Amino acid sequence: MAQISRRDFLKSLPALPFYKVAWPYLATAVNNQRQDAHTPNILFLVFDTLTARHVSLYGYGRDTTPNLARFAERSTVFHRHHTTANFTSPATASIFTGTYPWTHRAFHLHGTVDEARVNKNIFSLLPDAYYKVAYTHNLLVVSLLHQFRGELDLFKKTRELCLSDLEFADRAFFADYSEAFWAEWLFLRGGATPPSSLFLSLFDRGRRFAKKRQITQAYGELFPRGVPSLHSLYFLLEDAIDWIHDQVTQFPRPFFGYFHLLPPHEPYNTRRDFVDMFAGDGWKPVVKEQHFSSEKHTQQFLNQQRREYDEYLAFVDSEFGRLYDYLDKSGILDSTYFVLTSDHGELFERGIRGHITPTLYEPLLHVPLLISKPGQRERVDVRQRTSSVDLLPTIMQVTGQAIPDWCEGEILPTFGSESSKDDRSLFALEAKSNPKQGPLVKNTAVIAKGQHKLIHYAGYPHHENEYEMYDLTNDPEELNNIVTSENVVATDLKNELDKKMQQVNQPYWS
Amino acid sequence: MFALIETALVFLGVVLLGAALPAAWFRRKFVTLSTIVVFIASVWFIFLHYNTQIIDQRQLVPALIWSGSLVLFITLVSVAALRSMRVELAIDAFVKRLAVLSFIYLFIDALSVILVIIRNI
Repeated sequence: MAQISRRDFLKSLPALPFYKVAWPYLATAVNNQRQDAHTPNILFLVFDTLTARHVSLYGYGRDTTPNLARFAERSTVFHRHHTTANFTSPATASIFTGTYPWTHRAFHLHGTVDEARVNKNIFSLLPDAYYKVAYTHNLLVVSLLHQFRGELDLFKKTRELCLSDLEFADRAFFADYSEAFWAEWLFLRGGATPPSSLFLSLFDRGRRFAKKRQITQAYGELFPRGVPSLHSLYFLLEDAIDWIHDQVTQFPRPFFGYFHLLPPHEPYNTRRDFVDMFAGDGWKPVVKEQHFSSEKHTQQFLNQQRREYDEYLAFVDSEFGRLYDYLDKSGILDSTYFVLTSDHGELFERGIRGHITPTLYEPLLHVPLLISKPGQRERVDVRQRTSSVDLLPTIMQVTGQAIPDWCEGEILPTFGSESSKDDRSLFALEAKSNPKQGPLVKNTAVIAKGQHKLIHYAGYPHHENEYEMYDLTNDPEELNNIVTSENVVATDLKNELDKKMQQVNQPYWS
Repeated sequence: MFALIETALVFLGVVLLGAALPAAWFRRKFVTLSTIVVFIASVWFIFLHYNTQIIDQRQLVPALIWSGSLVLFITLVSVAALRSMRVELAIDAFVKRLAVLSFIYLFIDALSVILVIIRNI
């Protein structure tokens, strides 16, 4: 080997600054080239509040999702995919962390993941070679993404794809977003009680109504039921879809994109071309008994709301179709895992409308999951029960990463070498009333195993320690509570759920 | 932080009122009169919070009744306080006791503001 003389070394010294400046770029370019050949992109598209029970692809009585059906023809379709909770914070945290709500602890509105687990998420586990990008309309997801923002290459701000966003919290207090959000909310908007601000809140109220009037004047003709919104956030789904399909061709490869769009979350403000598309179609849902937590809505009101939701869903589907066509034509799907799912569902039965409820019936937990593998051309149907905690280990599997031992999910069927077990126990939880760092005393918990699903209500006044059990194969509408008639199965599931709750509560009893 | 901004704005409003009105009429009895303005305005705004349709639906007549009665009450109570030494002394005594508590709040507020600014700059 040739020796480097002192003179040669000194001669090379002037070039050092060049290497210092150029090396990171050269390294990235080399890395990208290497990754391009072997590493797929990952595109996550989450439509908020999209229940599988209203998706025609899964057998719903109305043709709500013809474009999803087209996409299904080149995807793996999961027929029994379930989320872990009935609203955004815990359900999305489960997607991000691969853990159940009792583990990640984000089970409140605007809940955040336990500090000890902040670095254990899908963004941090993917290698640095991935360009990681996230966008959401949903401010509850913003709270979660704020925790992981250090892992993101691009965390696009919600307001950048909105018509208006009158929130201050993330403008002035970026590092304390969740706390600032609540402070602003309670100060200017209030909740069950009036806002704590006497004067500025009224000024803010006037400002919001003026903005609403202005936006309604501009877009009211296109959206006769109101412009898509949530609180003071007004947006067009079309803008977000346009942005995604403009950007995915430009992101550095490989990329991991997480896009969480609010529709069909209420208010169900569909576009003009979908208004009344299901009016008078004669389709009627099964009428169910009132639940103890019923909001006393009439069946007529629930049917009307259901129809408006379905019409909004048809609009969402058409926008999805537009994105899908673009991705297909651009060839991105040949090198990308395209995941379509939802965080939770919506309920229009038992006197309840929406998803802020103590119940955990199937319309709230059963969500769509379709995954198109790079270059996939054939449809694959998976009928085993799966959970949103399975998404993280599956992404780790397809990107060649090790699956962390703290993950509570499994690799989805057809994505791993092992065949998935159909008799595994899956869980869901509603626990808003409990402290983040305390035992879960008042909650609704679900265990599902095989064809049975057991629901346990704990801590509710007059309904302490109540159970319901359903045979989801023979009674998918959950009409017949068989907890007493199927005593043997019920006892097994009760024992298993009880053991699980004791285990998750154990660290918090002191 | 948000509450501090609102408090500062209300205080600024009262100070500006004091500066704008004749010295003999307001400045010499600043504590008494500003207390009257802030307290009565607070009660009136609480009423407004339970009748927000006045703002949402831009109801002009109820809005005029609300603001007219606010001005009228403040004027009547202010005149009573200006004429009666006993009313003035009672208000002064009440505010002085409140001021002690306010200092504790101010200290904690100042610390919190510094912390929030350091974390978010």
